[in-house]
Amino acid sequence: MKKLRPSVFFLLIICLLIACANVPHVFNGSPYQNPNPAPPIPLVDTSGIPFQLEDYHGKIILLYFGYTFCPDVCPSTLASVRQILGELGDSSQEVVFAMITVDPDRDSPEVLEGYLSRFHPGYIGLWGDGEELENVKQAYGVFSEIDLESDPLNYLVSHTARIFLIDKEGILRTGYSFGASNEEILSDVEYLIRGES
Amino acid sequence: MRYRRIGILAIVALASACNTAPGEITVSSPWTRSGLEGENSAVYFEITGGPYPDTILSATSEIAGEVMLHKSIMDEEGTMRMEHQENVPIPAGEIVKFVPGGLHVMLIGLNQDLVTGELIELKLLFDNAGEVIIHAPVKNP
Repeated sequence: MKKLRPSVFFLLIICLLIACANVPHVFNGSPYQNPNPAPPIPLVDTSGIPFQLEDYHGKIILLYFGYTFCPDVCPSTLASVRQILGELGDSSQEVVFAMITVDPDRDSPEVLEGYLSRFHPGYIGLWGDGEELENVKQAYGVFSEIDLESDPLNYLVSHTARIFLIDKEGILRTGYSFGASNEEILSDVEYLIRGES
Repeated sequence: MRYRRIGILAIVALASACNTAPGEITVSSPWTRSGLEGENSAVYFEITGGPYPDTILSATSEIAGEVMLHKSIMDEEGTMRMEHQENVPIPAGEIVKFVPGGLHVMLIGLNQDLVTGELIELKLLFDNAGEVIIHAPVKNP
């Protein structure tokens, strides 16, 4: 068998490395095949100031729909994101987490602010009701409804428990269902922070 | 004769031990999430079944207005729903985990703030093992 000359061998290795480097990043979760700008979110933050995605261009946004009366899934998600931000260290400055309440009747902006700040001082709460909230939910494919079998005074809300990832240009990249590992989300966020897209 | 008596006593003692076998169920790694009075929280832990099957019939605690056995279930669309559990079977020798996003003891309407580092008391009533009291440390939200 004919031996490869060392120079040819090294050339092959370099070609292989270049090929590997050009492999496009595949986002975890349920990535959008043809990513589009994230739908607008015409809601207000907990200070009553209208929220505009454009104001956060240059930041990576993790967006979630939940409610403060949620005893299990929402607090678990908020705690997981806090862990992810902790893993990022200083780079977490490039990431914003926002939760849109799907329970605007009980989650007043004040309640939302108090609740979220106990998880992380940087968390943003977004509030809206009626048609404006329904439009945002529909645009993101989010479902929520009051669980009629639960206690009417302490009702629960069934809801899509997905974290949406929006890149620095405002493009909606992927969504993670509940149960996605922190590593999966972290890997995508770190990729966006490196700005290789 | 003397040895025969000791032998009978040993057999009786062994039989008694077997009768208390369901009590060998163990509850480990309990914890709960901090929260303010009026809010909700949940308690999580692991249960290792004893030599015989058992069932959790109820959970009670002074810490909340309502305490329920619940399970979070995600459907194909990614929607999380909460399902009340009338009881929770604990198969013999198996580990049943109460974890975020799954089985949990839901605390509705906390009667007081749950402060990180403190312990709360929770009573689990088993069909065979009877009442088991656990103390769950409060962790960060």
